Amino acid sequence: MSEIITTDKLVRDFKSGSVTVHALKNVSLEVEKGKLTILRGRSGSGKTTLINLLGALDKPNSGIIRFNGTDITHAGEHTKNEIRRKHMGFVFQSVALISMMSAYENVEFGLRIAGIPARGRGERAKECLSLVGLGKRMNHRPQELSGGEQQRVAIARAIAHRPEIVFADEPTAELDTHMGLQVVKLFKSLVEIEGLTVVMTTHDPSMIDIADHVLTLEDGEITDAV
Amino acid sequence: MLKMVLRRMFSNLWMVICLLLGSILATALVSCIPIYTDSILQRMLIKDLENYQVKTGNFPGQYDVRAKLNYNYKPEDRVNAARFFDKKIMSEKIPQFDLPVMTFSQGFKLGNLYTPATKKNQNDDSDMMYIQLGTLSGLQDHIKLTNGRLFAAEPVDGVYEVIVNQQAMKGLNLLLDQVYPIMDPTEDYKELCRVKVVGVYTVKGDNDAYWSVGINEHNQELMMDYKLFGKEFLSDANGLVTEARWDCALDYHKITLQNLSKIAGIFNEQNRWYSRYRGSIDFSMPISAILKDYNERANQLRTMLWVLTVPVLIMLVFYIFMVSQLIVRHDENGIAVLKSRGASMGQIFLSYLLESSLISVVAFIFGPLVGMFICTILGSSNGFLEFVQRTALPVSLSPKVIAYSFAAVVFLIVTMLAPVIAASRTTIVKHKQDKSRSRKAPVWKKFFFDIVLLLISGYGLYRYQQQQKILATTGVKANDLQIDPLLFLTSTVFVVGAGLLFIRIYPYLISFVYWLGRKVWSPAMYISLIQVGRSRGQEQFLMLFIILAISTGLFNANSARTINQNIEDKISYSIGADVRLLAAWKDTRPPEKAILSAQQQEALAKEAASPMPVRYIEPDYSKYSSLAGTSMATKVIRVNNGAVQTSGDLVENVNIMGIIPDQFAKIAWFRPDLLKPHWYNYINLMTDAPTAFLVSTDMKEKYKLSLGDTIYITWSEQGYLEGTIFAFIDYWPTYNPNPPEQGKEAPGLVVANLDYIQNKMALSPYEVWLKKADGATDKQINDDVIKRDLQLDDIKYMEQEIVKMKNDAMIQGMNGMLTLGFVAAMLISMLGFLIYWIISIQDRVLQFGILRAMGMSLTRVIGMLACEQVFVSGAAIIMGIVVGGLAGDLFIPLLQIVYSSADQVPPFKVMSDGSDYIKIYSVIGTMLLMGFLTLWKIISGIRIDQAVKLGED
Repeated sequence: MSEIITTDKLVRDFKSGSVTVHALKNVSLEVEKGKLTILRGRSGSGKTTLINLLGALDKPNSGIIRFNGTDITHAGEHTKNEIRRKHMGFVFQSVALISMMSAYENVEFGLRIAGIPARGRGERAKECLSLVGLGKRMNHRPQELSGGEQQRVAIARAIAHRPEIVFADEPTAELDTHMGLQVVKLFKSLVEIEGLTVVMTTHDPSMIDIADHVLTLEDGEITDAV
Repeated sequence: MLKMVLRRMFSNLWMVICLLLGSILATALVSCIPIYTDSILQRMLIKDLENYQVKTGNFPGQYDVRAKLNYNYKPEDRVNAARFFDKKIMSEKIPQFDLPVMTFSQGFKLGNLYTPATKKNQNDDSDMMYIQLGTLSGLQDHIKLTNGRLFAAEPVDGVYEVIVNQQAMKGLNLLLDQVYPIMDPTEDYKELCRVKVVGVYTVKGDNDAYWSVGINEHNQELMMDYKLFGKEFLSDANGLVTEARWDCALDYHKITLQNLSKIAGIFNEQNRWYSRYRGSIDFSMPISAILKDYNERANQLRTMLWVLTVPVLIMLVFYIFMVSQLIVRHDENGIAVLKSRGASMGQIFLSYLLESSLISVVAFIFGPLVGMFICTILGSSNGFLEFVQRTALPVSLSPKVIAYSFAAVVFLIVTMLAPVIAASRTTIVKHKQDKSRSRKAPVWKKFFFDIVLLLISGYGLYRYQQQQKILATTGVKANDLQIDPLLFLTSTVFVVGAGLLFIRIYPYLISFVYWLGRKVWSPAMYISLIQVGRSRGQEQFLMLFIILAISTGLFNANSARTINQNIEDKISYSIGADVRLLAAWKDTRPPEKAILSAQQQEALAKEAASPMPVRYIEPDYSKYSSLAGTSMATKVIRVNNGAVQTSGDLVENVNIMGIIPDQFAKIAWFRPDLLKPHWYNYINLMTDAPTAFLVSTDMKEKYKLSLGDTIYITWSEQGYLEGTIFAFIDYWPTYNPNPPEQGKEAPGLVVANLDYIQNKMALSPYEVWLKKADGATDKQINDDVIKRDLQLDDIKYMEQEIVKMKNDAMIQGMNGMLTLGFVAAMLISMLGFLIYWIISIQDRVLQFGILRAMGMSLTRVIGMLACEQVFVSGAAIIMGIVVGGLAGDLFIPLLQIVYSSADQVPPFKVMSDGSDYIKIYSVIGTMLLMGFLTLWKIISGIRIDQAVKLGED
């Protein structure tokens, strides 16, 4: 069994006033462990909705999501918090680092939330920052870093607690192509070095080549899986 | 444009509501100042005028003119002069004031007339008697006849009918129904006319403004019909009139602050006009003197009210500044984006102008109304945060109020727009650049405002302390101002300075705490410590707010309590008991000297030469001791001109008090801290030893007395009473140990057992001291006094005196303003609290989303906010309490400067009351709870997936 996540007929509707938007229609997919999977599609195709569901940030209207074989669709808030804290990492388009903390502190704070004991935290944080190539700038505040650097700090934070899977929603959207490519390459190397599973969304076709798997979404449905 | 603005406002609904409420409150508070000041001043004005009437018995709205026409005018000109003045006064001078005329009378006199005297006795050698013939308009309506009838309106058989008052009847020795020839000395005593006295009159009713000048002006005047007099003596042919008068009672209740200066101006102008006829015209208007005095007090009151609002105004400025900064910072991104998309600075500015105008218009409409409401509540303030039923203050919306609130609204708009101008200069690029640079230190930090303010207040404190030292050593009276407003200003400066200093230091403190446990802090604690310790942002404003509000509240509460309680104590101490009365004691002394014949006076002088104690007849004590509404009574002898014979000196003018110790202890009011040990110990000494004397400490020093000495007391020519000094006392109910005037000696005091005095000495009048039953009112007792028809020389009700004090405009204004200041501070900080937290949460929704995505539970996120609350609001509250307490300790003792030392019995004491603290803490608690509930509601409404998405827009 190499699938870390499987889903079965996921449906997610949003009500906006009297109009119901069908964001996802019967999406069934598998995410393979230790691979870089890219969800591609135009904006509004349902990528973010899907990744939020996979990351247990949102609930489907119907359908089942299994994480390592267990149904997390009907898990309680507490269990979901636990799974997110221990087994998942998140990287967002908006970076969302805490501006009051230095790069190092941001990563270390992630470890705190994950409940990692104090002893190993400092080492691990430094290690992860070196891994993303920011070993020398780790005492800078986010405002003092470039967009790409910020995103790399976010990645370091997302991987620091050794999650099984990292979700990245449009991590390259605010970066130029060159920077974006570097970030994706970083993900790729993490998959290879650390044996991580990465699911990321993008609308940028230039990233596709690096991915192990590509799922294409159109109007809430998977139209293509490579 | 309007649609866009409305949409923006709607998307920030919470914030807009807070801003709106804040603006309404700000406008309300600003408009409160003129409303409250004016209504308090108006109340004081009417009170001053009423007090004048009570004190002098004269009507304060009088307007009197007397014209003497005899010497300066030729007989043929007199009538013309009278007519001239009459026309001027009637059609010009009186209407000029534009006040309702309550009563009016016009009178004329023919003075300098004679009639053959009625011989009083044989020795009387004058055969002519000086009389006046006069008239007064409307006389018949304001008199009652005690004898005879009213005059006829026409001569009867060529004789004018007249009436006279009782004094004239007696003084001129007139007879009823007798006809008198009237002779004119200027015409060689030719008979002018004949009059017949047909009636005797006296005033009708007690408080008739018609008689405000009194009836005694007519003690030599024979009064005839007004029209008849005009026809006979005011015609061109017959210019005999020698005096004219116009007496007018203007309705002083219609004098308001608005027409006050106009009235004063008219008075001055008229005074100048009348003084041109000096010698023949006498013009008097007592109100002018009252108003002059009033103006001085009004200025004092105005200063005090203004100064007491200063802390509130400072808070308001902070508030508006904070809110506008927060809002614009919140919108900065949007402004920058708009700018980049080609919106001009003017368009952005206009859209915000529209928004702030919308808010301001609402504030302008509702602010003054809320202000009026607040003032009606303040009108019933009786102490700090203490309200009673009382006649409502005359609250009105004057143009001044509108002007004030308009100014407030303009100020609001300006402060709301100022940050927009700064923000609209930026483009998205510059905005991002600015964001990446760390914020500059605020101006106050750079220029050390906190230290400067503390230094200023320190200097003020030093000055006051010096002044106090001087006062303490010299006993010089400070001034008449009861409450020094500058003191409140200095303490406010101190509070702001200390608050700022704390805010400067606090982040370091938090960083230190963070550093201490940086390894072990839970994520919630960790992030909130970092947030508070490193942020240089708006939470400092919030903290300053809370510190200001709480310390001002505490300071206000304690100063109000101290001032009120000290004044109350002074009254209680000087009266001594709930009710203190002195019955009218009959004695064997002959009646008053004035009415005595020469022989009697001689006898009295002889009597005085050989002193004999006056013999008194004791009234029935049981009648006084059992008054309804009282629970206990005791007899107290108080003599203030006693003498004490010590082994060496004869001391005169000593206060002597005779008490029944156990009863006295239960009834008399005494503050326990005045004597050490507790004053009951002194009472016990007296109970145990009937011949024990308590002697005031100043006598001990002056006459080298010591415990166990035998001394003798006496008063009113009685024999000496021997007793032993058992203790020395500094204070005793009603005893003032201070010199009555500068340079005079303080009177001593000897307290003895009443029974011992009464056994050994002749009966002396004693006072009855009463304790009220629980829940009884002074009125109840007073009613019983009237019902029992008790003859009293004096009665004093403690509670009534205290109520009178509390109704004093100065005290009332102070209490009202202190309460207003506190309530406003609380409201502002609650709004500030809400705005701060709402914006801070809205700005951090993304952060919460990330935290939640990272697996932090909702409880933990709320825990994190709770920690932040504790570090921001909690710390500020504690600091507020500390600063408020400190301000109280430093500045409240200085309030005593404003009392002169002679008045200060019992000595000034700083007071605080637990119930005030409970009130303050419950207000703060409610504020925090409400704020926190709102936050809870907002936070639990945040959905993670949407929060995370927020960042993608």
